[in-house]
Order: sequence, then C-alpha cells, then structure tokens
Amino acid sequence: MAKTKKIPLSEEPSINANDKTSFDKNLKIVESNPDEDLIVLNKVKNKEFEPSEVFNLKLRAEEVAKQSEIRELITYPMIKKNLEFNLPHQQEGALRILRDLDGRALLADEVGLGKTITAGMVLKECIVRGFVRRALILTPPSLVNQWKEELKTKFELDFTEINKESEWENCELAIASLDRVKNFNNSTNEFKHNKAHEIYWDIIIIDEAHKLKDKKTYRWKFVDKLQKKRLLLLTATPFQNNLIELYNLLSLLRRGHLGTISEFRSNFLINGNERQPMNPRELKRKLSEVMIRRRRDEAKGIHYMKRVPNIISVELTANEKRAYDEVVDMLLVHYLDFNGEQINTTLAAHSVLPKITSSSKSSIEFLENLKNNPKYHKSTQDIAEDIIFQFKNIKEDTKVTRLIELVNEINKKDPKTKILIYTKHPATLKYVSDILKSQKFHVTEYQGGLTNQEKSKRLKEFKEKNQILVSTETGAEGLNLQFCNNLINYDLPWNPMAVEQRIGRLDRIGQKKNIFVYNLATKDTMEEHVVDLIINKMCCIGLVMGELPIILFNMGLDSLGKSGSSKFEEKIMNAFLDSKNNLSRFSNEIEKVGYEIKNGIKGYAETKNYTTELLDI
Amino acid sequence: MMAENTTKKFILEFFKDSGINDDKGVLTITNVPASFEEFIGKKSPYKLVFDLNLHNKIKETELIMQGSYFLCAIKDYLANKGLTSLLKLNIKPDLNEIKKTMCHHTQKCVVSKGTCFLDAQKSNISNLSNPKVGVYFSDIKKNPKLKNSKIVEVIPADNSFLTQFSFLSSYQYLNEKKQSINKFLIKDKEILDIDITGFKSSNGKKEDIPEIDLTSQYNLAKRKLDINVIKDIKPIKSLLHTKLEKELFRIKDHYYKQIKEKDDEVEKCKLKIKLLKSKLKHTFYERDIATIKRTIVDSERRLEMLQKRSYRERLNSEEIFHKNDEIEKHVLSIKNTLINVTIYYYPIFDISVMQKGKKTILKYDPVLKRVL
Repeated sequence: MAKTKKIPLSEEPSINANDKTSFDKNLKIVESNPDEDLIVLNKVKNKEFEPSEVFNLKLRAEEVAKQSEIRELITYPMIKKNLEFNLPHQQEGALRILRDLDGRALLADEVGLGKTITAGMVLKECIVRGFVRRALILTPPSLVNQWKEELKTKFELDFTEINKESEWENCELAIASLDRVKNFNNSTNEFKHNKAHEIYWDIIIIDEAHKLKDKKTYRWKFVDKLQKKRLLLLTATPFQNNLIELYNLLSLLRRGHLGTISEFRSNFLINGNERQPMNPRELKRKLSEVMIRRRRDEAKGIHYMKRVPNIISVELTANEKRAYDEVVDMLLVHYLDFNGEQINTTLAAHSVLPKITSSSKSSIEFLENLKNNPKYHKSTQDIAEDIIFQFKNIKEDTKVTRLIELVNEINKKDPKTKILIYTKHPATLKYVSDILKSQKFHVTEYQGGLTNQEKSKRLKEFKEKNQILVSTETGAEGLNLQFCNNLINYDLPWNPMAVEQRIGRLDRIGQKKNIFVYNLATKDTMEEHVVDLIINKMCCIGLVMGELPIILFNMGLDSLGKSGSSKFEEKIMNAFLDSKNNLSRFSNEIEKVGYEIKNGIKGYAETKNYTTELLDI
Repeated sequence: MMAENTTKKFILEFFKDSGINDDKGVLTITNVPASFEEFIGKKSPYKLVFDLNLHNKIKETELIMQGSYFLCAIKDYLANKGLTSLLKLNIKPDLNEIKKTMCHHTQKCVVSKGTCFLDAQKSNISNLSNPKVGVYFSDIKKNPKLKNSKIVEVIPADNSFLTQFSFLSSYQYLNEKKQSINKFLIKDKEILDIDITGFKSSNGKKEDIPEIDLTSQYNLAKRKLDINVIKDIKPIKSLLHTKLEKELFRIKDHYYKQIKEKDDEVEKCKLKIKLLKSKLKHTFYERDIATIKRTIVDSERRLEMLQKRSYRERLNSEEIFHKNDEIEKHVLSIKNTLINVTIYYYPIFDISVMQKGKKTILKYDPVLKRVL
C-alpha cells in the first residue's frame, strides 16, 4: 500500500459555518450541524410547544420514507408511466452503474437500446436519493433539445441550457452543447466557460463521448478539467480508428486504469500497432470494470422492423411547371426589396424554397404575402401577382391527385391500415386534409398550437376511429405512433434529422410491421434529387434509429450553420443556389454530397465492426 | 406488502383529520388543511394508491411508496413541525401495590396519628383515573433509609423535569445513504439510561414549567451524539478507507510511472547526446560528422522541449487534481439535525414515614426510582 499523506484541497465545497471538515487519513468527513438546532432551542425557551403526536408522526415519516441500499431503483415506478416500454436491460444498466461502478462508467450499449433512458434513470435515482444536487449533461449540439425534452417528459427533471458563461453560477441542473462550451480563448489562455471548472459536479453525463477520443483536443481537455464525483460516458463506439482512443476515453473516467500509455502499448498492442489488441481477453476484463455494453440481440423486448422506401414521382403539367419555374426565377433574379436591392438569396432560399416545393397552396400563400408587403419592390410584387394569377388558373393539382391515388392504393391493400401524412406547412395541411375529406376519407388534423387536451383527443381519434392523420412535424414531435406503419412525406424537409424524426414516430420499439415510407417528389425539379438523397441514401438504408444522427455528428453536419438551418440543409441550399436552377448542375452537386455521406456511413460501419470485433466476440 | 401496509397506515394517520374514502385500494383524501395543499402545490382531493399496477390502471392517482414524490413531500412538510413537545407524565401511586407491599393490608393497618395509609392514599389520589402504571412501593421499601419504617402518607408535591433531545443523523457516502435517530434523556446534568415509554403521558401546560435554558443540556447531548456517531460511522469509514486507498494508489502509481517514464526519456536523451558527442571526436568523414552534428542538434532540441514543458509540475498538479476528485467522491457527509426537544414533567412525591416512632418526610422521584 502506498504511503499516504493529507492532500490539500484546491476547492472546498461550500458548507455552513457550523460545518466541520476533518480528515481521517485521506478520508474526508464533512459534518454539518444545521443552524436549525438553535431555532428548536429558542422555541423551548419561548415555551412554544406542539402536540407530541406531530413529532411521533414525523418519526414515522422518517421511518417510512427511509431509503435502503441500492438493490432496486426506487424511482422506477415513478418514471415507468412516462416510458413507453419496460426494457429490463435499462434498469439493470442503471443499477450496475450505481451499485457496482460507483457512478463512473462508460455506457457503450449498441445504438437503439436507449442509453439516454438508462442515463436518465441513474440521474433520477441519484437526485431522489439525495446524492446529486448539481448535474451537468454535455451533448452534441443537435441533441440538446431532445435531451431536455426527454428529461422533462420522462424523468420530470428540468434542465437549463447553458449558452453564456454567466449562466453557470446558479444553475444546478445544467445541459450544454460540448462544442459550444469547449471554446478556448487563446488570448487569456483559458476556456471561455471556465466557470464550469469551478463547480464541483455531483454527476456529469456526456453523450456521444467517442468525440473525446483525442486528448490533444480542447473538447477532451475541457471535460478532463471538470471536477466530478460521478461521470457517465455514453457511446456505442468507444473507439473508431485505434485503441489509443479507448485509452484516452478511459483516462477521463479513471486515470491509470489501463496503465500509462507506454504500459498500455506494451501490454495491449501488438508491436505497438494501434488497431491490433495483443491481449483482448485481459483488455476486456479491464474494460468490464468500468464499462457496460449490451448488444441488441441480447436485449429482451426489442424487435427492429425494416424501412421500405418508396419514391412517388409526380409529373407536373406544363402549366404547373411554368408557374413553379417562374417562382424559382423570381427568387433567384427578381427578389428585390423596396429599394430595388437584391434580397440575400441564401436566406430567401432557406425560407421560401420549402414552401414552393410543398404545394401550390403554400406557394400562393407566400406570393400573396409578398404582393401585399411593402418591404418588397414593386417589380417583385408585380411578378408575384402574375404568378398568383397563373396558379389560380391552373385547374389541376398533380401532386395532390397523386396523393389520393397513393392513399387509395394503400387502402386497397389493407382497408384497416393507418396512414400518417406529413407536411411542413399548415396551409398545405389544411389543403390536403380538405381534399382527402372530400374523397370520403376519415382524417384527423394535427398541428402545433393545439392544447394538450385537444392533442390527446385527436390522437385517440386517429388511433381508434380515423384512418389518416395529417400532421406538421412541429405538431407531432415526440408522438408514439407505432400502431401505424405507413408514412407519406407530402413534402420533405431538407434536413435528414427532421426526416428521421418523422420516421421515428413509427419506427420505434413496439412497431410490429415493416414501415413503408412514401415520398412524393416532383419530377424535373430539385426536389426529386433531394428526396432521393435523403430517403434512398440516408434514412432508409438499414441503419438503426439513432445511427444517422451519430454519422452526421461524426461528419460535423449535425449542428446549425450560419443561416440557422442545419449544416446539411445549407449544403443542399448552396448547391441549389450555385446551380442557378440548372437541374443537371444541381444533380452533380447532390451526387457529391451523396458521396460524402456514403463515406461517412462507411466510416461509421467500419468503426462499428471494429468495436464489435473487439468487445463483443 | 408489509412495507405497503406500513406506508398506508402512516398515510391514514397523517390524514386522520381529513376525509378519507378507501375504495378498492384507492384512498381519496378530501378536506386537507390548506397549509398542506399550499406546501404540496396541489389542491385536494388526492387519489392515493400503494400498488404500482393499480397506479398504472387508474389515471390521476399518486403512487405512494418509498422515494415517491408525495411521500417525500409529506416528510418535508413535517420536517419543520413537531420540533418541541411538552408532556406531563401521569404518575400515580399504585394502590394495589401499596396494599400488597406496604400495608400488609388489613384493618389492623392503622398507624400513628390515626391515619390509615391506605385511606390517606385514597383521599389524596382517589380522583386519579388510571393507576395502572404507578409508583412501585416495593422499591421504596428496599431503600435502606426506610428500613423498619412504615409509610403513612404519600403526597404528590413539586414537579420534576426531564429533557429529551432527538437527533436525526444521516450519513451519505458514494451512492449510499443511512440514517439513525438518537434520543437522549437528560435530567439536570446527567444523561439517563432509563425507559419512560411505559408511563402514561398527556400534553402538558406551559404554565406548569419554569423558564428553561437548555444550552448546557444541549451541549451534553451533542457530546453524547458525537460518541454515537463515531460508533455508527466506524464500518462506513472502514469501507470508504479501503476503497479510497485503492483509488489513490492507482493515481499515485500512474503518475509515479509517468514521471519516471519522462525522466527516463530525458536521461536517454542526455546519454544519446553524450554518446554522439564522444562519437564525433572519433569520426573523420565529413558526411558522418554532419549527420552526427545534425542528430545532436535534434536531440538537444528534444531535450530542451522535454525540460521546458516542466512535465514534473504538470503531472504533479494533475495527480493532485485527480486525487482530490477521488477524495471528494469518497467523502462521508454527516448531517446531524435536532429534530425535537421534549420536556417531560411529573410530580415528586413527599412520602411520610414512621420510623422508631418518629415521622420523617422523604422526597421520592418515581421516574428515577430514587429517594432524593
């Protein structure tokens, strides 16, 4: 045993004046004697007494509420009602982390097993048992809101998002994007968010922790400097290219667990080859002391269904095509403000393009607004008026006609089947819904702005009575519609994460059938190419729910770009702007993006296989 | 199931003054005091269930179980209540006991001054309703001072006072929390080891007690509490100590090796430079000389870099940081809270005894069972 000495503490936790801190060798004992004792003594002095029954009741309350050792999750019954499914591996994982690993663990379950839920269980249990007061969650930027939402709805925990440095001080339950807070100020030689390092955290959870593979990065250094009692690292792929990444990750968790880097190289790598483990059994044993990993085929109650993509080509009539081209042309050439200055085409593309590809209805709505808005130039307004006139003279709507045909086809195959139709725009929602109703379909509309009561009522209506739900994505966020297996994207968001969210309403635990993803795409427009890329090359290629966000995160494409849209969406928009509505050029650009994505997916698959080879075989 | 019953009993007691309707396991609580409604942030009626399946089946029910929000809220609600109590111990002489042990009761039991002890008792305490628990006169008789004496009269006189301090001690470490309640009964400056739970008691009147300053008694109780806490935490400390030492050793060993590896690297570098310099002296070919010189420069640069980064300080401070992390992780937090002070009061008895024809009055403490 090493000879020990008392270690001076750099940072003492704040304790009452009545508190005593003592050391028994290195063991720190903090004894707090609350000031409340004085209040009690003063009450006696002032002869203020209460009936003794109250004290007896208080004693019984202490006895009844007394918590035992962690043999079970006392909070599980509380959160069970908020969880869709009872998956034993999630509870087992949380228990192991708390009981056997003292709350410092690498949770490396395969994607789709619900690492977030397991981490949430750990968090909730710790908070209710009184072990945790200050908690910090660091996630990729795109997952901050999802985490916040899940913690709120499933675990009834309110986390505050940290954006500014000043927000750390009074925040006990904090969540932040690691990419945002890891920024380093070279002039001051400090992290911008160094206040996070002054706090003693009871627990820190880091999602997609494989991004901490390189100890030279500010990301790694930021996390390493955090003072913490418990640390949970979540990732399905703890290493990607080599085993040194795993070493670096475990260094955050338990310094020296795998020895020094030289020892690690000589003990676990063949001739220093960073991809080849020399002693895999021993490495696995060492890992099992800090890591929990379960495979999907081991987990009870989870069955994965296939996503079957289907692109429905919509061939516009000559009149429709002309109107569409004129809107695009107006946007690229004649989109002028009241001074006659060209309006930023990038921003215009982001806000307007989705509308005009959605439906004639939302196109007209946009053009009407433009026509009546004084911030636009007269010539632009005149063009808008002309196009409106053209749209109004078009008697047919090929897209909606194709939709009705599609719904009829699905209905013919199985009259009882449920269909979810997604659109981005409320105007399109109403338009589509009215037309379907006119065709005698039973339709429920679902959009943002409904009260919770109304939402529940409409969901019930769809589940029990109506065949079709037409929804905007903001309305249907977080819904569980696994009883439905037909999804029609009337229009498609150009952000694959948003598409994943849509499919995710159906593709979740409890889905018993394959999921048919139908996508209406207007032929000879950019939409055709974007739909092909997002659906056929990203969302329906056999990835498990949750894998695509990781791939985009790994590629640095999951965060928001300068325009406020996702970086991926920006790529597509820029491709569109660069092509100047030349479809062949746009197609080439999209092909390049597709190639990039393909490489990202390939890299992820290799990593996954490598992880499986080492950890699961 | 047993825990469920205990919890349910507790809930019934807590809401005993409210309206309670038990319908197939669902307790509906109405007419709850406004202070509790305000505290919990929800108006009654409350629908409470104690079974998870029932909770899942019936909407808008509160599940009451260990750790549940509602139960914790009740505990918190009570935390600032019941802090002080005043209890009167209803101690009465036991007539039967007297009859059996002292009077050898017959009609012959007529003592001096013509007062029968039993009659005296009857006249003094006949209004006491429940003499089940009372003064055990056999104890009085055993007192050497009363040898060969006869008790002629027992009269409740001045009140005596006891103070009971109740502390809740909670011990939190790693992912465990334990708690214990320590109660100390104090008379004057002495901690008593007696059980008074057998005495009947009722809520007392504050007019019956004098001004009280409990500072010295509180300090005495705290000292005793400290001793108990030390006993309580002994196994916890031992466990934490073993775990912590293991972790500290890991860190110390890791950094020791890291520093050694760096030291070795420096030494290696120095040695290399030395060897190269010596080799330089014996090299004649221009090309070799240039190569050696270049290698020396490279090695010196490497050495300078190694030393410049002051790895020793950096690694030492890292070691301290990680050790501190472990120490904080293994911290044992003890919280001692005084959750109640109860003042008990009861009468001291004046006992008149006849001894060798002489009447003496003794003061007798029926709780301490002591002649004062």
